[in-house]
Amino acid sequence: MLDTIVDSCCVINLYAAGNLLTLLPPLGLRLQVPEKVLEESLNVRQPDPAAAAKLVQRAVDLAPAFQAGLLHRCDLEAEEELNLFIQVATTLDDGEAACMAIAKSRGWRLATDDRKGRREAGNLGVSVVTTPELVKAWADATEADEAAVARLLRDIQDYARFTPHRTMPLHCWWVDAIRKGGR
Amino acid sequence: MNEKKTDLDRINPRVLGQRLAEARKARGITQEEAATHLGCSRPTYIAVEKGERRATAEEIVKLAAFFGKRVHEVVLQAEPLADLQSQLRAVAERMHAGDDELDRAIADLQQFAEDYRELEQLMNAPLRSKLPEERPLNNLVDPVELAEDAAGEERRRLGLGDQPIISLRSILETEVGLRVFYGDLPSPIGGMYAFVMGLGCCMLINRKHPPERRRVSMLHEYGHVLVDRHKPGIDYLVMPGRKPANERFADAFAAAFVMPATSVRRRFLDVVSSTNDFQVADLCRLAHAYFVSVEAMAYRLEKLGLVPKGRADLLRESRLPVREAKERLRLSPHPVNDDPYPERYKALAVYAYEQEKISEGQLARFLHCDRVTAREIVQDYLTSRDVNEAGQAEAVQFDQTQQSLLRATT
Repeated sequence: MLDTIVDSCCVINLYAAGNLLTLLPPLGLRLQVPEKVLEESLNVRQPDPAAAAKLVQRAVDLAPAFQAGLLHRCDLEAEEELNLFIQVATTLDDGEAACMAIAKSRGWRLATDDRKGRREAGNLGVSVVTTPELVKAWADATEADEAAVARLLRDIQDYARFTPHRTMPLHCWWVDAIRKGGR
Repeated sequence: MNEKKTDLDRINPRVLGQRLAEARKARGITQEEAATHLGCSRPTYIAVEKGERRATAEEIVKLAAFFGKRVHEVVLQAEPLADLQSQLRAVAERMHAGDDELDRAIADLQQFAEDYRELEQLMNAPLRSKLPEERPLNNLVDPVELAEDAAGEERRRLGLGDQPIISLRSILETEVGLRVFYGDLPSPIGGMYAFVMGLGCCMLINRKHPPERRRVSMLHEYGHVLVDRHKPGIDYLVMPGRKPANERFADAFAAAFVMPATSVRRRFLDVVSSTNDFQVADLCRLAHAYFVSVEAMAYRLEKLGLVPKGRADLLRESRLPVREAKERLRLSPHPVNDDPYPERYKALAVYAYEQEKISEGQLARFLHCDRVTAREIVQDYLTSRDVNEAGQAEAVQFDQTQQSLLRATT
Protein backbone atom coordinates (compact mmCIF):
# COMPACT_ATOMS: atom_id res chain seq x y z
CA MET A 1 0.00 0.00 0.00
CA LEU A 2 1.39 3.39 -0.99
CA ASP A 3 2.19 5.65 1.97
CA THR A 4 0.92 9.18 1.43
CA ILE A 5 1.48 11.95 3.95
CA VAL A 6 -1.37 14.46 4.08
CA ASP A 7 -0.78 18.13 4.83
CA SER A 8 -3.24 20.47 6.53
CA CYS A 9 -4.90 21.90 3.45
CA CYS A 10 -5.61 18.45 2.08
CA VAL A 11 -6.84 17.20 5.49
CA ILE A 12 -9.32 20.09 5.60
CA ASN A 13 -10.53 19.47 2.05
CA LEU A 14 -11.04 15.74 2.54
CA TYR A 15 -12.79 16.30 5.87
CA ALA A 16 -15.13 18.86 4.32
CA ALA A 17 -16.07 16.33 1.64
CA GLY A 18 -18.31 14.54 4.11
CA ASN A 19 -17.55 11.20 5.62
CA LEU A 20 -13.89 10.18 5.81
CA LEU A 21 -14.95 6.66 6.76
CA THR A 22 -16.52 6.15 3.32
CA LEU A 23 -14.25 8.41 1.30
CA LEU A 24 -10.87 6.99 2.29
CA PRO A 25 -11.15 3.16 1.97
CA PRO A 26 -11.67 3.10 -1.83
CA LEU A 27 -8.48 5.12 -2.31
CA GLY A 28 -6.34 2.15 -1.27
CA LEU A 29 -3.74 4.38 0.35
CA ARG A 30 -2.00 4.33 3.69
CA LEU A 31 -2.60 7.93 4.75
CA GLN A 32 -0.21 9.44 7.29
CA VAL A 33 -0.75 12.63 9.26
CA PRO A 34 2.22 14.16 11.08
CA GLU A 35 1.99 15.53 14.61
CA LYS A 36 2.85 19.04 13.37
CA VAL A 37 -0.33 19.01 11.27
CA LEU A 38 -2.39 17.75 14.20
CA GLU A 39 -1.01 20.59 16.34
CA GLU A 40 -2.62 23.12 13.99
CA SER A 41 -6.09 24.47 14.65
CA LEU A 42 -8.00 22.91 11.74
CA ASN A 43 -11.57 23.97 11.03
CA VAL A 44 -14.20 23.68 8.33
CA ARG A 45 -17.59 25.30 7.92
CA GLN A 46 -20.92 23.59 8.44
CA PRO A 47 -24.53 24.77 8.27
CA ASP A 48 -25.68 26.34 11.50
CA PRO A 49 -28.10 23.87 13.12
CA ALA A 50 -30.25 26.86 14.11
CA ALA A 51 -30.23 28.52 10.67
CA ALA A 52 -29.19 26.29 7.77
CA ALA A 53 -28.41 29.19 5.43
CA LYS A 54 -25.73 30.38 7.82
CA LEU A 55 -22.38 28.64 8.06
CA VAL A 56 -20.57 28.19 11.35
CA GLN A 57 -17.12 26.94 12.26
CA ARG A 58 -16.56 23.30 13.12
CA ALA A 59 -13.32 21.77 14.37
CA VAL A 60 -11.87 18.97 12.27
CA ASP A 61 -12.19 15.74 14.24
CA LEU A 62 -9.97 13.02 12.86
CA ALA A 63 -10.36 10.66 15.82
CA PRO A 64 -12.88 8.31 14.12
CA ALA A 65 -10.64 7.99 11.06
CA PHE A 66 -7.62 7.20 13.27
CA GLN A 67 -9.65 4.68 15.25
CA ALA A 68 -10.83 3.03 12.05
CA GLY A 69 -7.23 2.69 10.91
CA LEU A 70 -7.83 4.91 7.89
CA LEU A 71 -5.35 7.53 9.06
CA HIS A 72 -2.04 6.94 10.82
CA ARG A 73 -0.02 9.26 13.01
CA CYS A 74 3.62 9.89 12.20
CA ASP A 75 6.30 12.21 13.50
CA LEU A 76 9.73 13.55 12.66
CA GLU A 77 12.19 10.94 13.82
CA ALA A 78 15.70 10.64 12.48
CA GLU A 79 18.24 13.44 12.71
CA GLU A 80 18.18 13.67 8.94
CA GLU A 81 14.44 14.35 9.03
CA LEU A 82 14.78 16.97 11.74
CA ASN A 83 17.56 18.75 9.86
CA LEU A 84 15.54 18.78 6.67
CA PHE A 85 12.46 19.93 8.60
CA ILE A 86 14.35 22.90 10.03
CA GLN A 87 15.70 23.83 6.63
CA VAL A 88 12.30 23.59 4.91
CA ALA A 89 10.69 25.49 7.83
CA THR A 90 12.64 28.58 6.75
CA THR A 91 10.31 28.82 3.75
CA LEU A 92 7.17 26.90 4.75
CA ASP A 93 4.99 26.65 7.83
CA ASP A 94 5.69 23.88 10.36
CA GLY A 95 3.03 21.39 9.24
CA GLU A 96 3.96 21.81 5.62
CA ALA A 97 7.67 21.51 6.38
CA ALA A 98 7.17 18.38 8.48
CA CYS A 99 5.20 16.71 5.67
CA MET A 100 7.88 17.61 3.18
CA ALA A 101 10.77 16.40 5.35
CA ILE A 102 9.10 13.08 6.20
CA ALA A 103 7.99 12.47 2.60
CA LYS A 104 11.48 13.17 1.29
CA SER A 105 13.23 11.08 3.92
CA ARG A 106 10.91 8.06 3.76
CA GLY A 107 10.13 8.14 0.04
CA TRP A 108 6.43 8.77 0.66
CA ARG A 109 4.07 10.71 -1.53
CA LEU A 110 2.77 14.09 -0.36
CA ALA A 111 -0.91 15.02 -0.55
CA THR A 112 -1.17 18.79 -0.76
CA ASP A 113 -3.11 21.44 -2.63
CA ASP A 114 -0.77 24.25 -1.71
CA ARG A 115 0.84 25.70 -4.82
CA LYS A 116 4.03 26.84 -3.12
CA GLY A 117 4.20 23.50 -1.32
CA ARG A 118 3.87 21.63 -4.59
CA ARG A 119 6.70 23.68 -6.10
CA GLU A 120 8.96 23.04 -3.10
CA ALA A 121 8.11 19.33 -3.28
CA GLY A 122 9.12 19.32 -6.92
CA ASN A 123 12.45 20.90 -5.99
CA LEU A 124 13.02 18.15 -3.42
CA GLY A 125 11.95 15.39 -5.77
CA VAL A 126 8.88 14.50 -3.68
CA SER A 127 5.90 13.27 -5.69
CA VAL A 128 2.61 15.04 -5.02
CA VAL A 129 -1.07 14.18 -5.20
CA THR A 130 -3.87 16.72 -4.83
CA THR A 131 -7.44 16.72 -3.49
CA PRO A 132 -8.98 16.73 -7.01
CA GLU A 133 -6.88 13.67 -7.88
CA LEU A 134 -7.89 11.87 -4.69
CA VAL A 135 -11.57 12.69 -5.20
CA LYS A 136 -11.42 11.56 -8.82
CA ALA A 137 -9.75 8.33 -7.69
CA TRP A 138 -12.64 7.82 -5.23
CA ALA A 139 -15.20 8.59 -7.95
CA ASP A 140 -13.55 6.15 -10.36
CA ALA A 141 -13.15 3.42 -7.76
CA THR A 142 -16.74 3.63 -6.52
CA GLU A 143 -18.26 4.46 -9.90
CA ALA A 144 -20.14 7.23 -8.13
CA ASP A 145 -22.82 8.92 -10.22
CA GLU A 146 -22.41 12.49 -11.42
CA ALA A 147 -24.76 13.91 -8.82
CA ALA A 148 -22.85 12.30 -5.94
CA VAL A 149 -19.51 13.55 -7.25
CA ALA A 150 -20.86 17.05 -7.74
CA ARG A 151 -22.33 17.03 -4.23
CA LEU A 152 -19.02 16.02 -2.74
CA LEU A 153 -17.11 18.68 -4.70
CA ARG A 154 -19.61 21.35 -3.72
CA ASP A 155 -19.25 20.36 -0.08
CA ILE A 156 -15.50 20.90 -0.39
CA GLN A 157 -16.09 24.28 -2.03
CA ASP A 158 -18.70 25.38 0.50
CA TYR A 159 -17.27 23.99 3.73
CA ALA A 160 -13.53 24.13 3.05
CA ARG A 161 -13.70 27.14 0.73
CA PHE A 162 -11.47 25.28 -1.68
CA THR A 163 -11.60 25.35 -5.46
CA PRO A 164 -8.59 24.04 -7.36
CA HIS A 165 -6.53 26.80 -8.93
CA ARG A 166 -6.68 26.86 -12.71
CA THR A 167 -3.03 25.70 -12.82
CA MET A 168 -3.76 22.60 -10.71
CA PRO A 169 -4.23 19.11 -12.12
CA LEU A 170 -7.88 18.25 -12.85
CA HIS A 171 -9.09 21.83 -12.54
CA CYS A 172 -11.23 21.39 -15.67
CA TRP A 173 -12.51 18.00 -14.47
CA TRP A 174 -13.60 19.61 -11.19
CA VAL A 175 -15.47 22.46 -12.90
CA ASP A 176 -17.11 20.09 -15.39
CA ALA A 177 -18.09 17.59 -12.70
CA ILE A 178 -19.89 20.26 -10.71
CA ARG A 179 -21.62 21.57 -13.83
CA LYS A 180 -22.68 18.08 -14.97
CA GLY A 181 -23.87 17.04 -11.54
CA GLY A 182 -26.28 19.98 -11.29
CA ARG A 183 -27.84 21.08 -8.01
CA MET B 1 15.92 22.39 -3.70
CA ASN B 2 19.64 21.75 -4.16
CA GLU B 3 21.95 20.06 -1.69
CA LYS B 4 23.52 23.32 -0.56
CA LYS B 5 20.14 24.77 0.43
CA THR B 6 19.14 21.78 2.52
CA ASP B 7 22.22 22.16 4.68
CA LEU B 8 21.25 23.19 8.24
CA ASP B 9 24.49 25.17 8.45
CA ARG B 10 22.91 27.69 6.11
CA ILE B 11 20.85 29.04 9.03
CA ASN B 12 22.58 32.10 10.46
CA PRO B 13 23.25 31.24 14.14
CA ARG B 14 23.37 34.90 15.17
CA VAL B 15 19.92 35.63 13.69
CA LEU B 16 18.58 32.39 15.16
CA GLY B 17 20.02 33.34 18.56
CA GLN B 18 18.40 36.78 18.44
CA ARG B 19 15.03 35.29 17.54
CA LEU B 20 15.28 32.72 20.32
CA ALA B 21 16.19 35.45 22.81
CA GLU B 22 13.23 37.62 21.76
CA ALA B 23 10.85 34.65 21.93
CA ARG B 24 12.16 33.68 25.37
CA LYS B 25 11.82 37.21 26.77
CA ALA B 26 8.32 37.60 25.31
CA ARG B 27 7.35 34.47 27.23
CA GLY B 28 8.98 35.68 30.44
CA ILE B 29 11.35 32.71 30.57
CA THR B 30 14.85 33.04 32.03
CA GLN B 31 18.00 31.76 30.35
CA GLU B 32 18.42 29.39 33.28
CA GLU B 33 14.97 27.88 32.65
CA ALA B 34 15.66 27.55 28.92
CA ALA B 35 18.96 25.82 29.66
CA THR B 36 17.26 23.43 32.08
CA HIS B 37 14.62 22.65 29.47
CA LEU B 38 17.34 21.79 26.97
CA GLY B 39 19.33 19.85 29.57
CA CYS B 40 22.46 21.96 29.14
CA SER B 41 24.33 24.52 31.22
CA ARG B 42 23.34 28.20 31.25
CA PRO B 43 26.61 29.29 29.56
CA THR B 44 25.98 26.74 26.80
CA TYR B 45 22.48 28.11 26.26
CA ILE B 46 23.74 31.71 26.33
CA ALA B 47 26.22 30.78 23.61
CA VAL B 48 23.26 29.69 21.44
CA GLU B 49 21.51 33.04 21.94
CA LYS B 50 24.72 34.87 21.15
CA GLY B 51 25.17 32.83 17.99
CA GLU B 52 28.48 31.45 19.24
CA ARG B 53 27.21 27.88 19.38
CA ARG B 54 25.14 26.34 16.60
CA ALA B 55 21.90 24.81 17.93
CA THR B 56 20.99 21.35 16.71
CA ALA B 57 17.71 20.73 14.91
CA GLU B 58 16.33 18.93 17.96
CA GLU B 59 17.27 21.87 20.22
CA ILE B 60 15.57 24.35 17.87
CA VAL B 61 12.38 22.28 17.87
CA LYS B 62 12.42 21.97 21.67
CA LEU B 63 13.08 25.67 22.26
CA ALA B 64 10.42 26.84 19.78
CA ALA B 65 7.82 24.68 21.54
CA PHE B 66 8.99 25.88 24.99
CA PHE B 67 8.69 29.53 23.91
CA GLY B 68 5.26 28.97 22.31
CA LYS B 69 6.53 29.70 18.82
CA ARG B 70 6.35 27.84 15.55
CA VAL B 71 9.70 26.59 14.32
CA HIS B 72 9.06 28.58 11.13
CA GLU B 73 9.00 31.77 13.20
CA VAL B 74 12.35 31.18 14.89
CA VAL B 75 14.27 30.06 11.81
CA LEU B 76 13.26 32.97 9.58
CA GLN B 77 16.38 34.27 7.90
CA ALA B 78 15.64 38.01 8.06
CA GLU B 79 17.25 40.03 10.84
CA PRO B 80 14.77 40.53 13.69
CA LEU B 81 13.70 44.05 14.53
CA ALA B 82 15.91 44.46 17.55
CA ASP B 83 14.83 47.94 18.59
CA LEU B 84 11.05 47.67 18.90
CA GLN B 85 10.36 45.13 21.61
CA SER B 86 13.29 46.12 23.80
CA GLN B 87 12.45 49.83 23.64
CA LEU B 88 8.81 49.36 24.53
CA ARG B 89 9.68 46.97 27.34
CA ALA B 90 12.04 49.57 28.74
CA VAL B 91 9.22 52.14 28.61
CA ALA B 92 6.87 49.71 30.38
CA GLU B 93 9.47 49.14 33.10
CA ARG B 94 10.02 52.88 33.57
CA MET B 95 6.26 53.38 33.89
CA HIS B 96 5.99 50.41 36.27
CA ALA B 97 3.43 49.07 33.82
CA GLY B 98 4.65 45.48 33.97
CA ASP B 99 1.74 43.32 33.03
CA ASP B 100 1.38 40.02 31.15
CA GLU B 101 -1.18 41.46 28.77
CA LEU B 102 1.06 44.42 28.00
CA ASP B 103 4.05 42.11 27.46
CA ARG B 104 2.01 40.05 25.01
CA ALA B 105 0.85 43.19 23.21
CA ILE B 106 4.46 44.38 22.83
CA ALA B 107 5.40 40.97 21.43
CA ASP B 108 2.39 41.16 19.08
CA LEU B 109 3.47 44.55 17.77
CA GLN B 110 6.97 43.19 17.20
CA GLN B 111 5.51 40.24 15.29
CA PHE B 112 3.20 42.42 13.22
CA ALA B 113 6.05 44.76 12.31
CA GLU B 114 8.31 41.87 11.30
CA ASP B 115 5.55 40.21 9.30
CA TYR B 116 4.79 43.47 7.52
CA ARG B 117 8.45 43.89 6.65
CA GLU B 118 8.62 40.30 5.38
CA LEU B 119 5.57 40.82 3.16
CA GLU B 120 6.97 44.05 1.77
CA GLN B 121 10.27 42.35 1.02
CA LEU B 122 8.54 39.37 -0.62
CA MET B 123 6.43 41.65 -2.79
CA ASN B 124 9.16 44.24 -3.28
CA ALA B 125 6.68 46.88 -2.12
CA PRO B 126 8.08 49.16 0.59
CA LEU B 127 5.63 51.61 2.13
CA ARG B 128 6.26 55.13 0.89
CA SER B 129 6.76 57.26 3.95
CA LYS B 130 5.42 60.79 3.80
CA LEU B 131 6.18 61.75 7.36
CA PRO B 132 6.18 65.44 8.20
CA GLU B 133 9.28 67.07 9.59
CA GLU B 134 9.63 66.79 13.34
CA ARG B 135 8.59 69.97 15.14
CA PRO B 136 9.97 69.91 18.68
CA LEU B 137 7.91 71.65 21.34
CA ASN B 138 8.85 75.12 22.44
CA ASN B 139 8.48 75.86 26.16
CA LEU B 140 7.32 79.38 25.33
CA VAL B 141 4.31 78.25 23.34
CA ASP B 142 1.26 76.46 24.75
CA PRO B 143 1.41 72.92 23.29
CA VAL B 144 -2.38 72.94 22.88
CA GLU B 145 -2.23 76.01 20.64
CA LEU B 146 0.71 74.53 18.77
CA ALA B 147 -1.26 71.33 18.22
CA GLU B 148 -4.22 73.24 16.76
CA ASP B 149 -1.89 74.84 14.27
CA ALA B 150 -0.06 71.57 13.51
CA ALA B 151 -3.30 69.70 12.85
CA GLY B 152 -4.44 72.29 10.32
CA GLU B 153 -1.04 72.26 8.68
CA GLU B 154 -1.01 68.47 8.44
CA ARG B 155 -4.45 68.39 6.88
CA ARG B 156 -3.34 71.00 4.34
CA ARG B 157 -0.09 69.12 3.61
CA LEU B 158 -2.04 65.94 2.95
CA GLY B 159 -4.75 67.69 0.92
CA LEU B 160 -7.47 66.54 3.29
CA GLY B 161 -9.42 69.78 3.58
CA ASP B 162 -11.40 70.30 6.78
CA GLN B 163 -14.23 67.80 6.34
CA PRO B 164 -14.75 64.66 8.48
CA ILE B 165 -12.53 61.68 7.68
CA ILE B 166 -14.18 58.29 8.08
CA SER B 167 -11.44 56.00 6.69
CA LEU B 168 -8.86 57.47 9.01
CA ARG B 169 -6.78 54.34 9.50
CA SER B 170 -6.13 53.77 5.81
CA ILE B 171 -5.43 57.47 5.23
CA LEU B 172 -2.85 57.50 8.01
CA GLU B 173 -1.15 54.58 6.35
CA THR B 174 -1.34 55.50 2.68
CA GLU B 175 -0.97 59.26 3.03
CA VAL B 176 1.33 59.55 6.03
CA GLY B 177 3.11 56.19 6.15
CA LEU B 178 2.03 55.14 9.66
CA ARG B 179 1.52 51.45 10.35
CA VAL B 180 -1.55 51.03 12.51
CA PHE B 181 -2.22 47.64 14.13
CA TYR B 182 -4.96 46.68 16.56
CA GLY B 183 -4.33 44.45 19.54
CA ASP B 184 -5.43 43.68 23.06
CA LEU B 185 -3.89 46.08 25.55
CA PRO B 186 -4.79 46.57 29.20
CA SER B 187 -7.98 48.68 29.21
CA PRO B 188 -6.44 51.87 30.66
CA ILE B 189 -4.00 52.04 27.72
CA GLY B 190 -5.12 53.65 24.46
CA GLY B 191 -2.15 52.65 22.36
CA MET B 192 1.60 52.41 22.07
CA TYR B 193 4.06 53.56 19.53
CA ALA B 194 7.64 53.02 18.39
CA PHE B 195 9.77 54.25 15.53
CA VAL B 196 11.61 51.36 13.94
CA MET B 197 14.62 51.73 11.67
CA GLY B 198 13.75 50.55 8.19
CA LEU B 199 10.02 50.43 8.90
CA GLY B 200 9.11 53.81 10.33
CA CYS B 201 6.26 54.41 12.75
CA CYS B 202 4.49 51.36 14.11
CA MET B 203 1.62 51.65 16.54
CA LEU B 204 -0.67 49.25 18.30
CA ILE B 205 -4.11 50.60 19.18
CA ASN B 206 -6.28 49.00 21.85
CA ARG B 207 -8.82 46.82 20.06
CA LYS B 208 -11.00 46.68 23.17
CA HIS B 209 -11.92 50.34 22.85
CA PRO B 210 -14.83 51.55 20.70
CA PRO B 211 -13.98 52.69 17.15
CA GLU B 212 -14.38 56.38 18.06
CA ARG B 213 -11.81 56.02 20.83
CA ARG B 214 -9.44 54.05 18.60
CA ARG B 215 -9.48 56.87 16.07
CA VAL B 216 -8.48 59.37 18.70
CA SER B 217 -5.77 57.03 20.00
CA MET B 218 -4.18 56.62 16.59
CA LEU B 219 -4.20 60.39 16.09
CA HIS B 220 -2.67 60.80 19.53
CA GLU B 221 0.21 58.60 18.40
CA TYR B 222 0.40 60.61 15.16
CA GLY B 223 0.85 63.66 17.38
CA HIS B 224 3.86 61.98 18.96
CA VAL B 225 5.26 61.36 15.47
CA LEU B 226 5.26 65.14 15.03
CA VAL B 227 6.96 66.15 18.23
CA ASP B 228 8.93 63.21 19.63
CA ARG B 229 8.89 60.41 17.08
CA HIS B 230 12.06 58.71 18.26
CA LYS B 231 10.77 58.37 21.78
CA PRO B 232 8.71 55.16 22.06
CA GLY B 233 5.67 55.47 24.27
CA ILE B 234 2.80 53.70 25.96
CA ASP B 235 -0.20 55.99 26.29
CA TYR B 236 -2.70 55.76 29.11
CA LEU B 237 -6.13 57.32 28.65
CA VAL B 238 -5.83 59.06 32.00
CA MET B 239 -2.64 60.05 33.78
CA PRO B 240 -2.31 61.10 37.39
CA GLY B 241 -1.57 64.80 37.76
CA ARG B 242 -0.91 67.24 34.94
CA LYS B 243 0.12 65.60 31.69
CA PRO B 244 3.53 66.55 30.29
CA ALA B 245 3.64 68.95 27.34
CA ASN B 246 4.15 66.27 24.68
CA GLU B 247 1.07 64.38 25.90
CA ARG B 248 -1.02 67.55 25.98
CA PHE B 249 0.16 68.27 22.45
CA ALA B 250 -0.77 64.76 21.27
CA ASP B 251 -4.23 64.96 22.90
CA ALA B 252 -4.95 68.37 21.39
CA PHE B 253 -3.56 67.37 18.01
CA ALA B 254 -5.89 64.37 17.89
CA ALA B 255 -8.95 66.48 18.70
CA ALA B 256 -8.04 69.22 16.25
CA PHE B 257 -7.21 66.80 13.44
CA VAL B 258 -10.36 64.71 13.73
CA MET B 259 -12.62 67.72 14.44
CA PRO B 260 -11.16 70.64 12.46
CA ALA B 261 -12.13 73.98 13.97
CA THR B 262 -13.31 75.54 10.70
CA SER B 263 -15.77 72.87 9.61
CA VAL B 264 -17.03 72.10 13.13
CA ARG B 265 -17.69 75.78 13.71
CA ARG B 266 -19.43 76.10 10.33
CA ARG B 267 -21.69 73.10 10.93
CA PHE B 268 -22.48 74.28 14.47
CA LEU B 269 -23.44 77.77 13.25
CA ASP B 270 -25.57 76.29 10.46
CA VAL B 271 -27.64 74.43 13.05
CA VAL B 272 -27.94 77.44 15.34
CA SER B 273 -28.92 79.76 12.54
CA SER B 274 -31.60 77.41 11.22
CA THR B 275 -33.08 76.24 14.55
CA ASN B 276 -32.05 79.02 16.88
CA ASP B 277 -30.78 76.35 19.26
CA PHE B 278 -28.24 73.55 19.59
CA GLN B 279 -29.63 70.54 21.37
CA VAL B 280 -28.21 67.27 22.57
CA ALA B 281 -29.63 65.63 19.44
CA ASP B 282 -27.64 68.09 17.32
CA LEU B 283 -24.54 67.24 19.31
CA CYS B 284 -25.13 63.54 18.64
CA ARG B 285 -25.52 64.21 14.91
CA LEU B 286 -22.38 66.33 14.82
CA ALA B 287 -20.36 63.70 16.73
CA HIS B 288 -21.64 61.05 14.34
CA ALA B 289 -20.68 63.12 11.31
CA TYR B 290 -17.07 63.29 12.54
CA PHE B 291 -17.10 59.69 13.84
CA VAL B 292 -16.11 60.75 17.36
CA SER B 293 -17.75 60.20 20.72
CA VAL B 294 -20.46 62.60 21.87
CA GLU B 295 -18.26 63.47 24.84
CA ALA B 296 -15.28 64.30 22.61
CA MET B 297 -17.41 66.54 20.44
CA ALA B 298 -18.87 68.28 23.50
CA TYR B 299 -15.36 69.08 24.77
CA ARG B 300 -14.37 70.25 21.32
CA LEU B 301 -17.30 72.66 21.15
CA GLU B 302 -16.32 73.98 24.56
CA LYS B 303 -12.70 74.40 23.47
CA LEU B 304 -13.86 76.33 20.41
CA GLY B 305 -16.00 78.55 22.62
CA LEU B 306 -19.22 77.45 20.93
CA VAL B 307 -20.96 76.13 24.07
CA PRO B 308 -20.48 77.43 27.62
CA LYS B 309 -17.73 75.86 29.74
CA GLY B 310 -18.90 73.00 31.90
CA ARG B 311 -21.54 71.66 29.49
CA ALA B 312 -19.41 68.69 28.52
CA ASP B 313 -18.88 67.72 32.16
CA LEU B 314 -22.61 68.06 32.82
CA LEU B 315 -23.34 65.83 29.87
CA ARG B 316 -20.85 63.25 31.06
CA GLU B 317 -22.35 63.24 34.54
CA SER B 318 -25.84 62.82 33.09
CA ARG B 319 -24.69 59.53 31.46
CA LEU B 320 -26.52 60.12 28.21
CA PRO B 321 -27.49 56.75 26.65
CA VAL B 322 -25.59 57.43 23.45
CA ARG B 323 -26.42 54.22 21.62
CA GLU B 324 -30.14 54.63 22.18
CA ALA B 325 -29.96 58.27 21.20
CA LYS B 326 -28.21 57.37 17.92
CA GLU B 327 -30.84 54.73 17.18
CA ARG B 328 -33.64 57.19 17.83
CA LEU B 329 -31.96 59.70 15.54
CA ARG B 330 -31.51 56.94 12.90
CA LEU B 331 -27.77 57.48 12.68
CA SER B 332 -26.51 54.41 10.86
CA PRO B 333 -23.18 53.05 12.06
CA HIS B 334 -20.03 53.86 10.12
CA PRO B 335 -18.16 51.01 8.44
CA VAL B 336 -15.52 49.73 10.83
CA ASN B 337 -12.40 47.76 9.96
CA ASP B 338 -11.61 45.64 13.01
CA ASP B 339 -8.79 43.72 11.35
CA PRO B 340 -5.70 43.61 13.54
CA TYR B 341 -3.57 44.58 10.53
CA PRO B 342 -3.91 47.40 7.98
CA GLU B 343 -5.73 46.89 4.67
CA ARG B 344 -2.46 47.13 2.76
CA TYR B 345 -0.91 44.39 4.88
CA LYS B 346 -3.84 42.13 4.02
CA ALA B 347 -3.50 42.97 0.31
CA LEU B 348 0.20 42.12 0.35
CA ALA B 349 -0.49 38.79 2.06
CA VAL B 350 -3.23 37.88 -0.43
CA TYR B 351 -1.09 38.75 -3.44
CA ALA B 352 1.97 36.99 -2.01
CA TYR B 353 -0.19 33.88 -1.69
CA GLU B 354 -1.67 34.27 -5.15
CA GLN B 355 1.83 34.59 -6.59
CA GLU B 356 2.99 31.47 -4.69
CA LYS B 357 5.47 33.44 -2.63
CA ILE B 358 3.92 32.13 0.56
CA SER B 359 2.14 28.88 1.36
CA GLU B 360 -1.36 28.54 2.78
CA GLY B 361 0.07 27.92 6.25
CA GLN B 362 2.14 31.09 6.03
CA LEU B 363 -0.91 33.00 4.74
CA ALA B 364 -2.94 31.88 7.76
CA ARG B 365 -0.08 32.93 10.05
CA PHE B 366 0.19 36.38 8.43
CA LEU B 367 -3.57 36.86 8.67
CA HIS B 368 -3.78 35.50 12.24
CA CYS B 369 -6.56 33.08 11.44
CA ASP B 370 -7.23 29.46 10.55
CA ARG B 371 -6.76 28.21 7.00
CA VAL B 372 -10.40 28.19 5.92
CA THR B 373 -10.84 31.77 7.13
CA ALA B 374 -7.67 32.67 5.21
CA ARG B 375 -9.20 31.09 2.09
CA GLU B 376 -12.35 33.17 2.63
CA ILE B 377 -10.27 36.32 2.96
CA VAL B 378 -8.50 35.55 -0.33
CA GLN B 379 -11.80 34.82 -2.08
CA ASP B 380 -13.43 37.96 -0.72
CA TYR B 381 -10.43 40.05 -1.63
CA LEU B 382 -10.34 38.77 -5.19
CA THR B 383 -14.09 39.05 -5.76
CA SER B 384 -15.81 42.19 -6.85
CA ARG B 385 -19.51 43.05 -7.15
CA ASP B 386 -20.41 44.16 -10.63
CA VAL B 387 -23.50 44.57 -12.77
CA ASN B 388 -24.02 42.30 -15.79
CA GLU B 389 -25.55 43.27 -19.13
CA ALA B 390 -29.02 42.49 -17.80
CA GLY B 391 -28.45 44.99 -15.03
CA GLN B 392 -28.28 42.32 -12.32
CA ALA B 393 -25.65 42.33 -9.60
CA GLU B 394 -23.15 39.48 -9.84
CA ALA B 395 -19.89 38.46 -8.22
CA VAL B 396 -16.85 38.73 -10.45
CA GLN B 397 -13.88 36.60 -9.46
CA PHE B 398 -10.49 37.98 -10.37
CA ASP B 399 -9.17 34.58 -11.24
CA GLN B 400 -6.25 35.93 -13.22
CA THR B 401 -4.79 38.51 -10.91
CA GLN B 402 -1.34 38.02 -12.33
CA GLN B 403 -2.49 38.96 -15.81
CA SER B 404 -0.76 42.20 -16.71
CA LEU B 405 -2.70 45.17 -17.99
CA LEU B 406 0.54 46.70 -19.23
CA ARG B 407 2.34 43.90 -21.03
CA ALA B 408 1.16 42.42 -24.32
CA THR B 409 -0.95 39.27 -23.94
CA THR B 410 0.38 36.07 -25.43
